[in-house]
Amino acid sequence: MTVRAQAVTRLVNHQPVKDAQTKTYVRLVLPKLLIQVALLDVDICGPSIPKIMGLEGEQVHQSGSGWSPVYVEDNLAVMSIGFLLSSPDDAVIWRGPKKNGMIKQFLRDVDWGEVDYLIVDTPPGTSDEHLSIVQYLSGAGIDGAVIITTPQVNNRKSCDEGKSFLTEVPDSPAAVAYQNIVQKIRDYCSSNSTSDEPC
Amino acid sequence: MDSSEKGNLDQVKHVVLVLSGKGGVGKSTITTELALALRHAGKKVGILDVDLCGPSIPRMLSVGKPEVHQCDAGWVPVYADPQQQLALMSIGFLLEDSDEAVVWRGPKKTALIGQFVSDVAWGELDVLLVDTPPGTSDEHLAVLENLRKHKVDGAVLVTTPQAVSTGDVRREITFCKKTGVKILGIVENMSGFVCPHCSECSNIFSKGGGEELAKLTGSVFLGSVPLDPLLTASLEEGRDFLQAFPESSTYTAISQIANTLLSSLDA
Repeated sequence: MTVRAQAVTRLVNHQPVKDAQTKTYVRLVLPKLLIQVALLDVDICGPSIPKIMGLEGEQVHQSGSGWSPVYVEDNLAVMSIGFLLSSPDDAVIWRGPKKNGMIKQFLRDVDWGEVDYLIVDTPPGTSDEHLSIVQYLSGAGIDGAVIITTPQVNNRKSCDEGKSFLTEVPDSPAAVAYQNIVQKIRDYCSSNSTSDEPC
Repeated sequence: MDSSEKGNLDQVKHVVLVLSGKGGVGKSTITTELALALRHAGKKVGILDVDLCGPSIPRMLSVGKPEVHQCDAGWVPVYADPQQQLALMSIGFLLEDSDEAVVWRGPKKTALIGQFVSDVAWGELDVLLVDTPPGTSDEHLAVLENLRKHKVDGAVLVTTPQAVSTGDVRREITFCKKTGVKILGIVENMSGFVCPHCSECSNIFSKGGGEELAKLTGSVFLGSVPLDPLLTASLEEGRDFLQAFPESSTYTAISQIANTLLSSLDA
């Protein structure tokens, strides 16, 4: 079953911003727009999507048309290696080639159905998973990437590295820097601060 | 066994891996602060930064982009202080363009890490801290394979309080058990936020996940470090936070963790 995705957006996450909770805020918006969304978790060693989406313990089923993803809502399908692990303590201690094979299977063997947006959550860094997903999706055409960061200068450098990695991905209006955490602190502090000076 | 390989790590008394299941928990920050705390305690410390895709320690220690020199025994590490008590080797030193991304697949990363572990002329060290990227993959296996000839004392696991982070650290614990690495303890980072204006410590990310995880898995809880903007600013500017803010609660937290770690290493 092929992924008939009209638009593919990739989320590129750079260190130290692999707090998947930050990216979930972005992902939860799209399904509300009544479009078919597929969320693919290619963080093979650290699959956080099942927990964040409230899908811990869900299993993946196989049928004649392939693996069925787990549906959060009718129009939001999710696939992660987390669904294939039997215990929260199971570690995936795999080298690059094996991780690449798993990613290929996710794209080829999962019965995604008709999809408007395929969103791919990646681990931190610029390595096997990132190279493979770009390579495997090159035929489908990747629309672009969203880079998520926090304000520290150290992370700006990571974003620059992310941008340099993305030179093979076409320029996209979807590339946005989403600054999180600082807003959370500001919101919290402005409601709890006893000082006049804003934090 | 190659004699230079044996020599390069032979005078290193203790090797400690710093691991996390999750990215963004502040592992490099904790590695850097632990190294500074151990140095303040009079120890000779080395940091091996094997996070090939995201090497951040050179900036945190304000060593810039020095040239890496070779000697008969191998690569000479870069010293972060004039007294040469804190040595560092990072892939960051070998990159020509500081904005250049290291886009390497597993086998290439494995090969370079092999060189890093064997060919750096560390000399005499009390503790070598090995900063790793998040996960349980090529880099981690490469470090352990290459350190097999030398004793690894164990690993410090870094988490943040949220369940998502501790969930990934549980996998890291499994990794340690499967590979025979002793877990020296768990550090909970970003545990509470110290506001520089109102001086209150508020738990914006919840608290206690790391301590619960330690109890659940029978591991030692080394301590918690708050999210401190003064620490963040020091790291961005490459300043020694421990020297600049010795009165802060964050300083106390980090020093206590370092002391507990030293006691378990010397035991």
